Amino acid sequence: MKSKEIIVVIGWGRMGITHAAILGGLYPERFEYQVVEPDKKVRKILTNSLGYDCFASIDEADVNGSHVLITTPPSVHERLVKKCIDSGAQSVFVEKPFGLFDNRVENDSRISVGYVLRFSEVTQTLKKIILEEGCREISLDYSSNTLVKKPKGWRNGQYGGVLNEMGSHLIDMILYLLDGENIQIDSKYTESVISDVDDIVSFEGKCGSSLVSLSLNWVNKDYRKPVWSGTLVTEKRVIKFDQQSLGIGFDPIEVDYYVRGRDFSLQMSHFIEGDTSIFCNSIQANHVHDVITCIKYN
Amino acid sequence: MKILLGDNQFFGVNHTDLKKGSEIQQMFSSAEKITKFIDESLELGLDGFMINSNALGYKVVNEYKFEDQSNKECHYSIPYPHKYASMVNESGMLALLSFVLRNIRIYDIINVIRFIFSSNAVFLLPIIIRMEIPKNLPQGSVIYLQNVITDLVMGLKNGSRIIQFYITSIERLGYKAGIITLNPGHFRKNFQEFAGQKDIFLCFNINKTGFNVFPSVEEVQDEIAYIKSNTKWQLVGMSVFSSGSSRVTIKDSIDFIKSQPLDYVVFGTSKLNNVKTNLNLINSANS
Repeated sequence: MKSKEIIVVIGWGRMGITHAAILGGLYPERFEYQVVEPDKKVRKILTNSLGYDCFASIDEADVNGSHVLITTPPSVHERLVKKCIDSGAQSVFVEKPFGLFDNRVENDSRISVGYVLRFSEVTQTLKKIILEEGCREISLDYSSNTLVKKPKGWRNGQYGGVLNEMGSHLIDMILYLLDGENIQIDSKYTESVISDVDDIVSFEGKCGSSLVSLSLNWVNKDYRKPVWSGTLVTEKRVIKFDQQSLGIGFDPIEVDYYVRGRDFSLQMSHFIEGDTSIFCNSIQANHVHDVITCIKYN
Repeated sequence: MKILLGDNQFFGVNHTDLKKGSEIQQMFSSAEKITKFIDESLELGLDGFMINSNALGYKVVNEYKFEDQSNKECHYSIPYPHKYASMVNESGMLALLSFVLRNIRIYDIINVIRFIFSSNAVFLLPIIIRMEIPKNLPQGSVIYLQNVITDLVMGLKNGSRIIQFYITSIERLGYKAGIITLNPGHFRKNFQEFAGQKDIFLCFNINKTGFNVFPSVEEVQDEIAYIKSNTKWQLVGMSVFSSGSSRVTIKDSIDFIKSQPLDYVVFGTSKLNNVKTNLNLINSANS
């Protein structure tokens, strides 16, 4: 009999580490952790430095009955999700961008997708306002100086680029706020500056009856930290906001452990507690891909 | 209660108004401009300044004339997390290892050998620390571990070992160890036994409105009282003005802070007038 519940982290990259740290802080002593990481050097250093149980393949981990975090490059998301569900995982959290454009995972109540902006107090407040006052127009902007050198590996291929990596968050936010399934793209612009894929992207379009626009730039040297911001025009007023402030203010939510933001802690506590009051399922995540595909290829 | 100048204004950080933060950053575009503001603030009566080890902060400290400010304190924080995050983003986790190994010096060899034989990354920590500290930083200064790193490592399995090693390494170098965390209660529970009687500087958010105070103002107040009664730690309050929130006045913020048994407060501002006003209010509260 297992003494503790198990969390399996697949992929020990930046997000795998972040989520594991938040869970360790939120739930000290509650879980045993198993890490699935294909890189032998990373496994050896992780085991010897921190004492994690590490495995080269998901087949070696105790997936049955466990909570699984999939934080790998997106090309293997679909295969890993299927494998975890088939192996009896209790719940599966998949980082965005979820899956491949052509290979879809069937919806399953055990799957949640890591579109973290839904958990921001700004997003939650905007959603309430839109429910009461409607939305004539919403525009979002993401600016950062994330890319200073050409990235290596999958980040410089078809699953990389600012549209997949950051735009997917903001497209999900638009669809979430407007209860939409699709965005009709009227005009678009993409530019490659440092990477071989898209570094600057913008579009204008419609989601339902609301006008929407999005501007993404992750090679903007004017920014030290990543910043997203926007403007909401309701039937009654214009509201400016950004990732940490809202013109009309909001009450911050208390969290028991803070690493990168309250939204990240809330995302993990919702996942572990099975709280679906804020939740992105695989169908909703696939809608984000449909919009991205439309911008990229149409 | 000692009063330190913070550094957010120098580097475009404003936790409630990103645009304002960016505008103010333009005023401090060079090490010379930052140094001038620090000097003028210290002349007004601040006890010292806190600054991060990003490229500009490192340059400020490395060129600072500490001999002219011998009774003032420098509180330095390491590392600059975005540098390492960008590395991981671009080239993966092993890029960090590669970066460290590319920057070793002859006196790092023993630690590199210990790392090679053990695959225990803790042996690389002294090398990273050495890379982040300017040679000009006076012995006895406080060197903090940035909250992004503290809180990330503290949540990991056996992460406490890494932080213990950090504290020991800083002390061995002749500095005082500081920890910045947004989870002071977790830190105390994890480290009281190891470091309760050490001269640790613990820096965390505390303010009247509860802005970024985790898990709550009441619980952090309880922690402050507990820590003061049971450890030798020096407590440093930051975000004391709720990051300029309009929900509370400066006077109310200061009245709240003065009611806490803190050893230091740190605040950032781009205006010398604010330094003077805050200093007067805190000092009158102190007396």
